[in-house]
Amino acid sequence: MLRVALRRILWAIPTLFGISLVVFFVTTLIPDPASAAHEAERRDPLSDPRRAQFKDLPRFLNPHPADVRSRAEADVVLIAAGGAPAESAARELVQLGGAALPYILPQLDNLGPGARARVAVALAPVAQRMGFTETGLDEPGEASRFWERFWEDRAVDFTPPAVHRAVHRLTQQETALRERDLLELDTYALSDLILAMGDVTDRHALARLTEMASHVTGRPSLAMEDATLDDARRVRADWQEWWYVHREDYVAFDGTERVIARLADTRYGKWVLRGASGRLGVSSRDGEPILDKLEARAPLTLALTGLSLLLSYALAVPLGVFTAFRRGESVDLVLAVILFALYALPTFWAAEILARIFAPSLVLTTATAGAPAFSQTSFILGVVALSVGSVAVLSRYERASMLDVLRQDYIRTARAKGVPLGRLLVVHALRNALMPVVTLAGLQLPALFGGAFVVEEVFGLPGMGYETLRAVEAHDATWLTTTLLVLSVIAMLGLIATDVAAGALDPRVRDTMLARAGGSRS
Amino acid sequence: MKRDRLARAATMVLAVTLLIALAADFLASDLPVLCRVSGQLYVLPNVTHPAGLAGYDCTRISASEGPGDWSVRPLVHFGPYEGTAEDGAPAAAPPLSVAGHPLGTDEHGRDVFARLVHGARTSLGIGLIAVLGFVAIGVTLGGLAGFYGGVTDALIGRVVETLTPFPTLILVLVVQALVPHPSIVSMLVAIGLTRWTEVARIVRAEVLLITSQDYVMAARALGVRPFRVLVRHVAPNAAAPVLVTAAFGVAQVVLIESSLQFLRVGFSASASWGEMLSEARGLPGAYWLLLFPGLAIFLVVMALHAIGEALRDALDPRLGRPADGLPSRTALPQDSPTQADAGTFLHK
Repeated sequence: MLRVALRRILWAIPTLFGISLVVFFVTTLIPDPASAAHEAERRDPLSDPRRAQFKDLPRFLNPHPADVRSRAEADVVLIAAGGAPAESAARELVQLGGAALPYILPQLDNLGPGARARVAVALAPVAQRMGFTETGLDEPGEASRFWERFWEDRAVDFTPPAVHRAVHRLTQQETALRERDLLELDTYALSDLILAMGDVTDRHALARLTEMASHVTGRPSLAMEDATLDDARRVRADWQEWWYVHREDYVAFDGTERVIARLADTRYGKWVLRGASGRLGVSSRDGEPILDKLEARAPLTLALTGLSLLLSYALAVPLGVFTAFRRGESVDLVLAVILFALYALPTFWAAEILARIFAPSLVLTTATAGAPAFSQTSFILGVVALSVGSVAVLSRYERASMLDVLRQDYIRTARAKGVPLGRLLVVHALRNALMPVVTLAGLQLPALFGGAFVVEEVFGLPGMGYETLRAVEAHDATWLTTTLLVLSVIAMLGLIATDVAAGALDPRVRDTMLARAGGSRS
Repeated sequence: MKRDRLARAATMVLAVTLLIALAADFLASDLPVLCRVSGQLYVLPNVTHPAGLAGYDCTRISASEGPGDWSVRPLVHFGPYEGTAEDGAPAAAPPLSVAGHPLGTDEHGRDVFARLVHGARTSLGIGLIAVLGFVAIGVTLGGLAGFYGGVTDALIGRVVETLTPFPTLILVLVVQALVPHPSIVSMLVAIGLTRWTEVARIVRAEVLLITSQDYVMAARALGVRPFRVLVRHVAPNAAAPVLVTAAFGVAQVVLIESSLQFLRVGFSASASWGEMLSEARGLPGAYWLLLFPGLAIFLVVMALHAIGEALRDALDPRLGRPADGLPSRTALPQDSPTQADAGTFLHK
């Protein structure tokens, strides 16, 4: 039994990979935001709007992953050469800021005096951002001397342990001196700042951290001292998401990282790793972290589908057994017609009709106001509406499989030796007749998810379906693709569970599963 | 006998719906079938929408009839679109309350009959095209997997298993929301992407079953080439279950299309049953807006299901009816793939 389960779960790994590829393919459909309006920003690769969807990266393989070091060195070469490209290179270098200094300042001596001066002048805004008020930083000679002195004095500060200590001190208590330490590190401290944001529990510390981060990056800080807990979570998620997208601008790869980055620093790699690490990104509709939204919305949708699956089986199995036992009688025929009709009933029509009959006030409010509100009536009606179709399908299968079993010789034998009818049906027949229907549960799930979306919309239930439809209006690609991914993976787990259940219920299935697998080894 | 009668009724329903879909412009259009306006003869303006009649509709044409002008009108003189302001079509009129609108009008004064008739075209058109597409893919890939086995089989099996858990409705919804210009084509592609797996699974199982039969072995022993075996022996036998799946497939696509339109993430069609139902939500008192399009979907889907089941009974004697005492598929014979295998497609 365990072997069947393990084998099935191992086979799910390539399937999972396949699912992620399909959803990734769907994300590539997202229109490129780099339209004519963004043409100006496009020249500036660091603030390319396409980066939020990783569209600036190659799809599956990045032969030359760019990090702060490669970017800074390329910029220095451009600035040293002078001319038109130097201007945008200087802009980029200023954005890279302090994180680039350990890679360029020691190299300055290797440049000619003219080139050195040009680079030093280009760095003037960085010095300003660091809070240096010396005049003459935009003068070639003065600037060169300034940066030379700067590196001699502070090279020791530009080491991970020093930064770590500085950030730690800032989270503990705020003083002008501590802030000054960090200011002079500029973007070099970002990595630790963002990391610290995830750890701090103190609202004021978070505010200090975000303020520092926004000072060095020029992003709006958003955090206020009197922010609510939700706001704080949102701000933190926003920064973490930004860091996930822009990390390479401020951190240099070391040896192994560089090799991994060839695969990881790609559109697919970044997208799939973000999902795998549990950070699903931030909704572009309202800035909420997707994970929080899922936590809020998914339980309702899953409860809706789960309960409706349970209800379907609870109704369909007895119905199937009953109609199979009374086959050919008028009860069977009437039920067959009814079930056949139910099978064709569109879920949303059934839901609408149920809503009009049992909750007329609900129809008006959801149709006009559109605000979702959970109510017991609408949830129960939703479960019923969702179950209609699957009851019909499952009971028809159950009837057919029960008929097969009832014709078997062992049933005749059991009858002949006087097994009571109830025991005959339930213990002898149903156990075997249940198996084919149980395996249908997994296949039923994807259809039920779709139905749940419709039902939520009709009854105004605030589940994933409701959220998805709002996301459609707002073109919130992150939420849409995450929903697709999450529901497909859940459906896949459902398929695995039913397969394993089938193996547990029926030794014949178990044998064929293992026998087939054995065949492939030979 | 009873089953035959049901199948016959279902075929009638479907045939009538198909005819309605084809003849939608003759049943309801804002332009006449044939007319003479200001001395010029227009043939079938309801289909061609000539530039000369831009801005005209049936009411205006008869109002401005000069000497020698005449027109032959369609059954209902309104198209599925919003009427011009001057015709003053009443909004949300119940059936039979206003002359010329047999099934009433909706919130925007559009004729319900016209929208129903044109909606048939949308639903069935999409259903048939999508099914043709995914059946073609499914038959090809399923046939390849079953016939060649080995690596081909394993690869196609992986793909099928990957696509099976995708909820079609949600996939189509997300695709329609993300593509820059949602259209019928993007919707058909999204539907085709996932629905072919079922066909492939069935075809593969059939091919495996048939190629293990003695007569195929005999044909091979006689030196018949594999391709000929496929065409002469496998294809005719595998056709039956494919036809059955196709019938159910059309029903599924009709449901998916109307659900999407109901959620308003489809594409803009001239009229669609799902969209009509979605509009009915704004007017809870207007039963006719809920009843007619819902009934239309219900009847078409039911007819397709009945036809699918009748086909299954008629085309494939092996499937048998339980009443005949023949073993059916669900009896789990060891060598034939069964429903139980559906989830565990290919563990080799």
